[in-house]
Amino acid sequence: MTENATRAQRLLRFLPGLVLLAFCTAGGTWALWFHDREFSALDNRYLAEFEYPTPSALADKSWMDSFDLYVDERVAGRVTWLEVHALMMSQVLRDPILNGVYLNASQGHLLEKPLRQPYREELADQAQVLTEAVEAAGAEMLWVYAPRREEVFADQLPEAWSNPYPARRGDIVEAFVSTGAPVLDLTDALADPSTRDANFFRTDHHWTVDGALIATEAIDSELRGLGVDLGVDNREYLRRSGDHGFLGSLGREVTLGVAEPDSFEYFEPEDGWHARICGVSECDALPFTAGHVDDPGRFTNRYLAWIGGDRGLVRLYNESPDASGTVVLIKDSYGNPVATYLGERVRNLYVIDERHYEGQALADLLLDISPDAVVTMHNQVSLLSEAFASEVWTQPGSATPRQSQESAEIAVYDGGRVAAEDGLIFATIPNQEIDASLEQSAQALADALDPLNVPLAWLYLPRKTEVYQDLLTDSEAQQVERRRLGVLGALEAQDLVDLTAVLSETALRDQYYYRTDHHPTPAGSRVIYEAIVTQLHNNGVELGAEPADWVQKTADDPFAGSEISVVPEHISTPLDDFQWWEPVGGWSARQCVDEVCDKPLVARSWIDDPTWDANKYRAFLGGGFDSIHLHNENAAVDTSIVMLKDSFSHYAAMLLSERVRDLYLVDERGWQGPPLATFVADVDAAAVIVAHNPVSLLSADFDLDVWAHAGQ
Amino acid sequence: MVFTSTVFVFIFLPIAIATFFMVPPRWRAWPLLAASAVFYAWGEPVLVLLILGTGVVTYYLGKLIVKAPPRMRRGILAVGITVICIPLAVFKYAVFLAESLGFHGWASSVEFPLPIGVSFYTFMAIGYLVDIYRRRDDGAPRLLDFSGFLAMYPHLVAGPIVRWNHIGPQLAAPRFNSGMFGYGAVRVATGLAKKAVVADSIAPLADDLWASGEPASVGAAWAAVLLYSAQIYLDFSAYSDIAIGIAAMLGVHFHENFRFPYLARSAREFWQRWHISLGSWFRDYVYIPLGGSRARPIVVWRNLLIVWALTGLWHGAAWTFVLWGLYFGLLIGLERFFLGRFLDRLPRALQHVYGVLVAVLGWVLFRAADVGQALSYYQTMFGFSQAPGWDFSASLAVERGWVLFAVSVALAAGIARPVMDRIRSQTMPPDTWDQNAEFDPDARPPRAITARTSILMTVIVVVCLFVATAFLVAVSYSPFIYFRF
Repeated sequence: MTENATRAQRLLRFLPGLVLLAFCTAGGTWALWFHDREFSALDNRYLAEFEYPTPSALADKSWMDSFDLYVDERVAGRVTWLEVHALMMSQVLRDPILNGVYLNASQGHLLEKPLRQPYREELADQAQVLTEAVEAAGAEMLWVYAPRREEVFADQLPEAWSNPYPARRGDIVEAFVSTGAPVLDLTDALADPSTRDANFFRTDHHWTVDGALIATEAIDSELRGLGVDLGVDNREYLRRSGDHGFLGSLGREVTLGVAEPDSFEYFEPEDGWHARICGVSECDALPFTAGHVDDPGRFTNRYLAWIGGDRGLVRLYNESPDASGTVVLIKDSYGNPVATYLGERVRNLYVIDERHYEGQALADLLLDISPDAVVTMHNQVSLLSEAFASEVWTQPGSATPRQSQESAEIAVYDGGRVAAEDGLIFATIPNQEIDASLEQSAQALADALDPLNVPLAWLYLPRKTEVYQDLLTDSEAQQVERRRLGVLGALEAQDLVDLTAVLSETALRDQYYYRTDHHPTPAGSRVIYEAIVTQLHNNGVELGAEPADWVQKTADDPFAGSEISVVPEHISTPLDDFQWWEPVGGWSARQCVDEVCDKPLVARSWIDDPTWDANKYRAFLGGGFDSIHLHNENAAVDTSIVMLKDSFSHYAAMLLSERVRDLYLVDERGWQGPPLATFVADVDAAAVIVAHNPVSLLSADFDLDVWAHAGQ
Repeated sequence: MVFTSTVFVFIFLPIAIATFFMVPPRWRAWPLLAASAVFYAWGEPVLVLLILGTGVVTYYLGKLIVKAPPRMRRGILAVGITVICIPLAVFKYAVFLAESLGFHGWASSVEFPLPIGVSFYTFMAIGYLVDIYRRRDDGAPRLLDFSGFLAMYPHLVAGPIVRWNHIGPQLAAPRFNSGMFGYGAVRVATGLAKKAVVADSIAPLADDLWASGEPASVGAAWAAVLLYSAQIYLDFSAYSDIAIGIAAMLGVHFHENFRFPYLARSAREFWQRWHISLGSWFRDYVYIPLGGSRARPIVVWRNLLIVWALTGLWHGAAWTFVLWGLYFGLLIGLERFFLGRFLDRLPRALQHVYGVLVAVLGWVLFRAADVGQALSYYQTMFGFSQAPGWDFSASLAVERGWVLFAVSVALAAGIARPVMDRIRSQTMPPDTWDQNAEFDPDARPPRAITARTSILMTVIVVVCLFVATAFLVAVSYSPFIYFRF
């Protein structure tokens, strides 16, 4: 009896400790073992992933920091915990400010604490430079000031929060006025107390469709007043709304625990959208993506519905007879819905976001496209932010761009030439013959795959010499063109897309190829990737969603590509920046080695190699003639793709790997696997892509037997 | 690593406790030392060698003192204290000293990392050597035991400053004690909630007000000081709660480090209730060796001012901390010689008001960025500046913080004390406030535990853990204020 009583006493004393240990152990077990890598819509990014420790990462504590973050973000029911926290803070502890967001404004508007950004004193001068460039292009200039919500709802902010926005607004408008160009300040139109609640989302810092339409109409009116010939759109627009609420960035900041989602509404023309966003090969994408509105996700960023979100340069083309004029809209994200509606009236609308723009100098672009008007529209936070690239306004135009034949002949060496003032290098063009075996092998490949009922798509990837033919000598130009036409002819029977025209676009080709290397840059690779995606879509292949947010990375050292060897060592020539983009939170896919899929896509060792001529391009899936298997454990679809490639497609393949389960990259120059048809069947591929540049395709290393014997 | 992190709560703690009890009692110092090294290395991967080195040096210095002939013991002690103070002197005080002596160029050109917990473990090591020198202890039998004691992760980064003669015997063969385990769990859970929910929620309110430099109004100044007073107490006492709780779960008893300090009725009593392990350390190892209070008044004054200047300096290498220490030294001296008799005649409520006021006004020096800001605060608090009586920042602070402050006052006043006393009496062996008292983990708790108390404890653990987890997840990283002392 006494022993039982003692045992019971022990149990009673032990119980709270047992519960604590069980709780902690369960939480830890979940975080470490049940953790499918996932995208967090609440955070609008991929969650942190586990990183293996290295001696240096342990010594500098970076591994501990990454593991802390990893566990933080893998706690079971994380979103619920965050909502409980929000509820506790607001309802129990009665704090009206949560994560810097004020909760007690009227009508449930969430207001963030105004930022204290330093004013850029040189803004007026920069605006003047842009105005002069616009005038030089013969266009009208219109400066538009878009107010932040905290200017419109200034009276609702806590009085203790000093609000520098009104004073800043005066400074900015004054800077615009000093250029002599007309200025449209939208503040009063949007701040009308009787309508302001409808003009802005409650849970997001952007304006609603009503606010955007006020802006659009005001801009339209101003432009017409300046004599710009805009089209007339008399169609009826129908107000629509999605079935699901919209929790904007401020709402996500405070979570659904305290935020009531907005209704996401938009106006749609009765007969549909006329304008189309121009893509790789044609203008066929809608300016408004209803998929973002219909997505049932609680935290979906529906604002991306407007022209697909922020991008460096988007061109909208409207072939409706009622549309006219060419307008350039330089904007921040406030401009996205404005662009959507302005695009319904304008023939050509170029939409530029300085924060992402990497194209040619704006002055040159304006000369190339000869717009009727240029509209700049910004809110002050984006205009004064560190991310704002004011050099887009001020970069001088080039009087002697690369396309100038006279100035292109900078220097000729044994192995090639420097072909433009900014150091564009061409290696000597190899003499390569095309024989009938190419056509026959291609057909053999197509025939071998045909019984499998697997779509086969072909891509022709141009060499740098092909997109800069205007910088070649006549004989060189004839040589590369002859080669191109020869390859295209041999593959004529196949479903082939030639990317030469797209990658040769004068305004953009400098972005698509390195000066010192023959490979396409990540920007050029993205064009290749988009062409692949289009091909896959056309063939009904299911792909997962592309990561929503990307972060730009830059190597510490410049990139001296393989063509730098053309230039003698004592000659100085500009190098390339080595930049690329990664999904926020990192890549989902991994390279598989011996069926273990844990090798990162990007090999930092190449990028961090301090050797001046380190081949940084090998950071993208290595180099040589390797065949590679990329596996994405967290892909939303089970699709497998086989891609026959050379190193031109490596970065494009990395982009594609984020959207499929398995991507098998086969390099014919080193393929040791089974016949391709067998391989394609074994991996249950949904499609086969063949993407090559002509030099690798016609090289002696290229094993056409891989195609010819694909079925054997 | 900090206690209020998901890695600590969900990964480290269960693994550390499980591995501790998987090893036979005699060898439990091994997993304890290993866990402590990981815990420390998580924040200081390189400087973990410093604390381990301090342990080795101190242990062998102790051995040397034990074996040394009487005439050499004092010299070895002096050399030993000097040696183990070198990291503290270099990493914490060198730059401050150089700046104070006018070597601004050198001071601005160097930047030393401040090893986590260096002030705590240096003082523990000094105490260990002095106790051996005084023949109050023979020192640790094994280097392993001493290293486990010095680096023991519950007290590692923010105390309490434990003593070998109290902890050493318990670490020789710590056994599982169901009562201490359950009680420890309650202290851990309540400490986590106190820190994550209340202290960390007050922190941004106080920081906002203090960040403005000079107070915007009399109300804002008082709000800043009162919120900080609540924050620092809850923050530091919560850390001690968790440390005491984890140690108890491991079967090791730590003395309490706080005893409702804002209930004090004098400056002297405040320090008998606030950071008790530090106050008693200075009393035993500095104040009494200097002569303590049994001397002529002028000597007592000297002793007080030395001890309290050092106490201030221990908290930080800045003149504000020195002044903060001297402030208490002065008040305690005044209370001893003049003010005490007058205070004793005051109504008890007024004595409490005096006690709280002393503490709160002291925190101005403690929190201020420099002496100028502290003076500005004092002037404004008592209406000697141009600042208005009230402003919007004061209104916002009240709007945001009144519930938190009310909760803080309730906790500081001991609202949870009856429940905790009841739990302790049914789970823990009898305890004493004496830092030098031995503890018998095998002694029976004063009262048998009831099912109702067990359920109450379990509910407290579950609720506190749930609430704390919500706040831990929301605030990924929240270092303790005392992290760098």
